[in-house]
Order: sequence, then C-alpha cells, then structure tokens
Amino acid sequence: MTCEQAQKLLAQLTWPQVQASRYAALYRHLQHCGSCQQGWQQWRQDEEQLTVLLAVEPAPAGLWEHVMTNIHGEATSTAQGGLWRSIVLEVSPQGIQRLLLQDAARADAALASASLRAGALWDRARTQLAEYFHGERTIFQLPVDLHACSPFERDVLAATATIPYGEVRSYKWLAERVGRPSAARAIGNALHKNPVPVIIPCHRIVKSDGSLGGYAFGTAWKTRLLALEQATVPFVGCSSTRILCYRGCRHERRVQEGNRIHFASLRDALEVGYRPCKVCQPAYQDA
Amino acid sequence: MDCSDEVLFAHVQQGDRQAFGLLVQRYQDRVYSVARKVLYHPQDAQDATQQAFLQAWQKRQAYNPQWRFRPWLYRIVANICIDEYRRRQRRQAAPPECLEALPAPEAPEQDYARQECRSALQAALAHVPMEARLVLVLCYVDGLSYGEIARVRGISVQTVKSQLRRAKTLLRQRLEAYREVKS
Repeated sequence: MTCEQAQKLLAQLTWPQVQASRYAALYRHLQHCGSCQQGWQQWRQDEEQLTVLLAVEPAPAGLWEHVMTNIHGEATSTAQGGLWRSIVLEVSPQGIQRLLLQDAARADAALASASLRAGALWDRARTQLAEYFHGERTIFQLPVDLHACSPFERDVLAATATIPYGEVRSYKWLAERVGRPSAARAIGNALHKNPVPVIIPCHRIVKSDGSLGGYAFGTAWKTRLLALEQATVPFVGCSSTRILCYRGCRHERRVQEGNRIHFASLRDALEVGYRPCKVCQPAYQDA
Repeated sequence: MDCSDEVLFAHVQQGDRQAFGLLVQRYQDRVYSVARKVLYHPQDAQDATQQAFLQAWQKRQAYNPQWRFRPWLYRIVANICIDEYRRRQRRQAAPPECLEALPAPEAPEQDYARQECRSALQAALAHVPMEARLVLVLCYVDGLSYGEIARVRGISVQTVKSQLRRAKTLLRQRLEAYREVKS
C-alpha cells in the first residue's frame, strides 16, 4: 500500500468498521511509514472523541412503560386488524398478481421466488394494505398485473377501480359503464374472478335493490370492508395550501397536524374553495 | 437463552406483546440515543422513540420475516426523526441553544484539552447537514454497517460512504479551525 492509498483509506475509515480484516494492509503500511503514523494518530484521536460523543446513552426512566401502555391501547382499538392477517400476496415484477386468503406461511413462499423488484413491490403492497385496514389509506398506489384476465374482465376491473372510497355502485351501473348494459350477470362473473380484491374494490359493487350481492371472500368480508370505509373519513385538506388529497396520498402525509382538515366528501371541500391534489386526483364519479 | 430479534419479532407478528416488550427493552437505549443525537432536544427524542416503537407495533404485519429486524426498526426511527426535523424547521429556525443541548459525555480522564475538543466537536456536529448527520449517527451509535445504513435510508452504499465522508470532512474542518484558534 502506498502513502496516497493509505491517506485515502484513512479519510474513508470509521471507527466502528476499523476492525475489519480488509484494513490489514493499512496496518502493515503504518508500521513502516513514519509520515502516515502522524496522520493515523490524529485520526485515532478524532475518532475517539467522536465515539465518545456518539456513545449510547440510557433512555429516560419510564419510556418502556409508556410504549407498552400505548401499545396496549392500540391493540384493543384495531378491530379490523384481524382481516389483514389472513391476506397473502403474489407479486410479479409487473405488479400485484393475486391477493388471496391463506395462512401466512404461504406469503414467504411467494416472496422466495420473486425478483428484487417484486420484493420491493411486495413490501409496498403490504404496507399500503396494512394502512388501508387501519383506516390510514383510502387509495392504493400499486401496479396490478392482470395478464391472466380476458379483455372484457380487464375492462370491468378498470371501471371498478374508478369507484371512489366509501361509495358503492350497482352491477347495472358497471354494465353500462363498460358498454354492455345487458351483461350484468357476466359482470358479476368477471368481478368474481378479480385476482386482486380489496386493491381493485369489487366490494363496492352491490345489487340495485340495495342488497349486498356476492363476494369472492364471502359476504362477511364484504360487509366488514364496507363498514371500514364508512367509518373512515376519506379526504384530508391542507388549510394553508387549500389542496385536497385522498387519505394515504404522499402529499397528505406531509400536511402538518395543525393544518389538517377532514372532509367526508369532495363536494364539501370544493364548496369551501379547496382544489384537488394533482397526484391522487380526487374527482367526481357519476353515481 | 437469548432469542434473536427476528425470532422475537415473529412472535410479535402473532400479537405477542411480551416479546415486543423484550425488543423495546433491547433497543430503547440505542433508539433513544439516535433520536437524541439527531434531534438534540431530549423531549423530542423521547417522543420520537415512543412513536417509533408504536409504529413498529402497528406495522408489524408489513414486516417480512426474511428481513433483518435492526435496519427495519432504524428505518422507522430515521423517517420519524426526519419528519420531526422538517416539522421543526417549518415552525421556526433551529434554536441556537439546541447546539449546547447535546449530552455532555462523561470524561473519565481529567484532560481538559480533550474535553474542550469534544465540546467543539459537539458544536460542529450541529452544523452537519441532516442526511449526513443521520448516516454518521447510525454508523457510530449502533455500529451499523454501510450496507445496513444503505437499507435504512434507501440509498446506495456509495452514497452512504460519501455522506459519511462529507460529515467527517465538515467536522474535521471545524476542529482544525478550532485548533488553529487555540494555538
């Protein structure tokens, strides 16, 4: 090792990593080079100071108790948490392929075969789903991979994805929307094949007479999902910028606590002068 | 027998609060120290620590058992600290007295020159930009590897190295200026 290389390494080196065997060459060089020794001594002195300054200090007394009390309160208040536990995702690099109800062990098997990008996507999807079930998210910002669906099914699912959070539409509405007004039954079949329920909200489709209709995961799930959406205020406005976002939008996350205004509907917000966010684009849907 | 963090967190994912209590006990000092060194104010650091553990509990189902637990936890801590820092910046400019608020490290030796040098270092740290400071703190407080810090911050290992170099160059410059004044 030359002096120049030693100086360069010294500039990069940090005390926590200094033990690593790859720095053996530096030690050998220092034993024979007087000029580098001086730099080494100065470096050691600085590092020692930094290590002391950035040493671990004890947390204040009572912190553990505070955390555990908070957790106890939170655990009893999240009734929807149970829904989330049984969800399993299958992910491809193109998007979420399937959302299933299974035991959690299968989730790892699905990930084991996934690529790195798919792994990152899986992570994002699980986070967003967890937020959805805790009432902290009202839109999903995830790619879905519908390559296994027929063109008709894709049209149906695309139209379903436009139904806003907290609202419901009829099978008839959806049939008209995809240009097949007499195909309400075929619509029902296409929805039953929805590979990614919850993310594409087929639970927001109900019968025209007001009854629930079917659901791939069972009507108990449909009821609970609709109840969750009814109980969550979908829009958050920022009183300083007058911008309205869906809950869960990245801009919504940045609104300060003191500036947050909650809106139950887009109409309410527009009437008092708010404008829709350009990212999550809250918009009217004809009912 | 000591369980690994990952084994304990697997129990936490089943809703085991006792296992989570053990993890909190294991990490509370380190998490608090990171928050304290990044945010300075003890109260802010305490709030950030509590919030980090609460978030870890709430998002336990989003944790993939194949991940290492430590970088995952520090990722939560780092994000909370950055949010808090930005919130504070928007509220007001960083109060100058916070520069003095870092803990005075206990000095076993009676070497005043060293103590003075440490105080200078302490003040210099406050002038290191947030991102670089966070990388520096993660590296020194809990000895996270470059790869782990990269995962915590969602940046490349090369960026971790350059941020660390940036932080240390700034610190060194300040210290040299201080030494010149002293001599």
